[in-house]
Amino acid sequence: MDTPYRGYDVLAKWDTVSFDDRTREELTRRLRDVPQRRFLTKEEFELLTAIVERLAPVFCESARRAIAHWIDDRLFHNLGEGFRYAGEPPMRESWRKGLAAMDGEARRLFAVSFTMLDVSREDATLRAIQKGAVDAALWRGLRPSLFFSHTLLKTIAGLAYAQPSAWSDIGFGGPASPRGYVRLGFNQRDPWEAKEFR
Amino acid sequence: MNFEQPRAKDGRAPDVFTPGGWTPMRQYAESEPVDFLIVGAGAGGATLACKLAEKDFSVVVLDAGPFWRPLDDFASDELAQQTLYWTDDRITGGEDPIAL
Ligand SMILES: Cc1cc2nc3c(=O)[nH]c(=O)nc-3n(C[C@H](O)[C@H](O)[C@H](O)COP(=O)(O)OP(=O)(O)OC[C@H]3O[C@@H](n4cnc5c(N)ncnc54)[C@H](O)[C@@H]3O)c2cc1C
Repeated sequence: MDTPYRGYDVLAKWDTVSFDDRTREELTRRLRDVPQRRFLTKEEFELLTAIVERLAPVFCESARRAIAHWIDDRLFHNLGEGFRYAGEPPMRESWRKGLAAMDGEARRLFAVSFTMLDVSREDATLRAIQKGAVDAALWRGLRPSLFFSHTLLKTIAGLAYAQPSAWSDIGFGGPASPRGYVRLGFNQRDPWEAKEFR
Repeated sequence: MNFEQPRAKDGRAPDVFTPGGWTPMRQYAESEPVDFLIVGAGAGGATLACKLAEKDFSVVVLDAGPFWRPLDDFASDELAQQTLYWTDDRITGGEDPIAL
């Protein structure tokens, strides 16, 4: 990705006081043990992968690939974020219905599955869903724009930025503990922070 | 670590300032009257319990969640910290529903 933090790699600080053992352990596991698909069907998973590719194109390939697996893992463990909007179905049902409806929209607009679309048609489909310009019958009570922004986009963005490569891209300094930061004023930076070139 | 298993028992509680450490904890029989019962050992409840105990009141604290040892249990990482949250479904509604 094109970034003003050229040459910055947050993991170069791995063996310094920027990281503690617990955090190193956690990140090692995150990068090494990407969970196998266990909840979504093969078709649903391929669809989700195609959607992630389109919504998170700036992230590196390995980072993008992990996202669909982590979403599947959350669904497998039924691990939600602790709330849902009145009238919306529980998490698992939401994702199942939402994915099916997204594929339905692609078929309605272009007569083929989302996974078969070229980039511009993928975008047209996603844009229609985001704006709620859909066939309501496909959504079975789910609100398309809420599913798009709140469920899909927020989850994907959250997981994309759980990856150190994405931290490096945006110049994020990494763990706040144990070293943390000292120079907090405007135009100040600690020597262990990313340097911006503009 | 199984976070469902109580850690504060047998007269001691985790010492959160020392990895794996313990600190003595006073206990009371269920039939014994105490001055204060505090439900929830969060930022508010735990601080209040501590202040009261330091003034020599007898205090019992109940908490439904795990007794965390921050030095052992917490990675300094946004995603890993999700283990802190209560994730059972709450419903947010009304005219202007907020994300909780
Ligand atoms: C990720 C995160 C970062 C934050 N960072 C900061 C910060 O940097 N600075 C800052 O000032 N604030 C911060 N906050 C906010 C701050 O933590 C909260 O405002 C504060 O903890 C609220 O205190 P409380 O005592 O009201 O509730 P809590 O601390 O949430 O305590 C409630 C307690 O009650 C227990 N409980 C719940 N239900 C039951 C039940 N039925 N029976 C028994 N026990 C129960 C819970 O297990 C919990 O221990 C942060 C919050 C989060 C989530």
